[in-house]
Amino acid sequence: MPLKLSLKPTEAVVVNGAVIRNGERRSTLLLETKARILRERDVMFPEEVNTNFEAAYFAVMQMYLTGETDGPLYDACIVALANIVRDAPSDELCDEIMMISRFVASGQLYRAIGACRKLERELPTPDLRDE
Amino acid sequence: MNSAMPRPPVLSATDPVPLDEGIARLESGNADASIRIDFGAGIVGEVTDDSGLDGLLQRARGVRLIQMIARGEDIESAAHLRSSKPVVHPLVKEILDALRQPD
Repeated sequence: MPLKLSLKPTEAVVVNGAVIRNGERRSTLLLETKARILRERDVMFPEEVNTNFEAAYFAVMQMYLTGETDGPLYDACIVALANIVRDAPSDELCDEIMMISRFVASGQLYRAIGACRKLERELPTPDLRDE
Repeated sequence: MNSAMPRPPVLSATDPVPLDEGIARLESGNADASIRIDFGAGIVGEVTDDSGLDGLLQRARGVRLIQMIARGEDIESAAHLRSSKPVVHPLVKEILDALRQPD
């Protein structure tokens, strides 16, 4: 079943490493096969990385965009997740980080990105976002 | 260790093995591409061929590290777990540069 992707005017999306930018009108793409898709709004830039959480998201995002499941990007992700767990104020947060680490380690990178987004919404205090 | 001692046979597994056992097998070279490692919560780590075994070991060690820290265990290597400037993969740099381009 194809994935229907609606794009706003000038909105960009990354499909299997290719940046595709929409024209001046709203449009729809149908993706007939599996692909690694990331919307522009979900892309993080390195200068936006200021916290362990952002470092973890940035590493997972890079793994997803490149399709790499180990190597230096994986190490960067684990370092960031380890730092979050070390400072985590609750068992629930530790559990969520462990799930993200499992998703990453098993190559379920899109699920890992989704879990990161969910975690971002749930982070209890701004302090946890700080190093 | 006596180099004349025969190496143990490579073990194969279709059912996932516990995390520590999987790491031990991979570290000892006593595993092939059929190994499946239980990462917990019903999630399994596996590879498609033997060339992925080193990567699987790295991934399994990462899961174990997170679990150890979550349990409050003292990690000797914690000192090196400091974040630094994020490394940007060349392909990702290309993507980010394209997204930055002005309209």
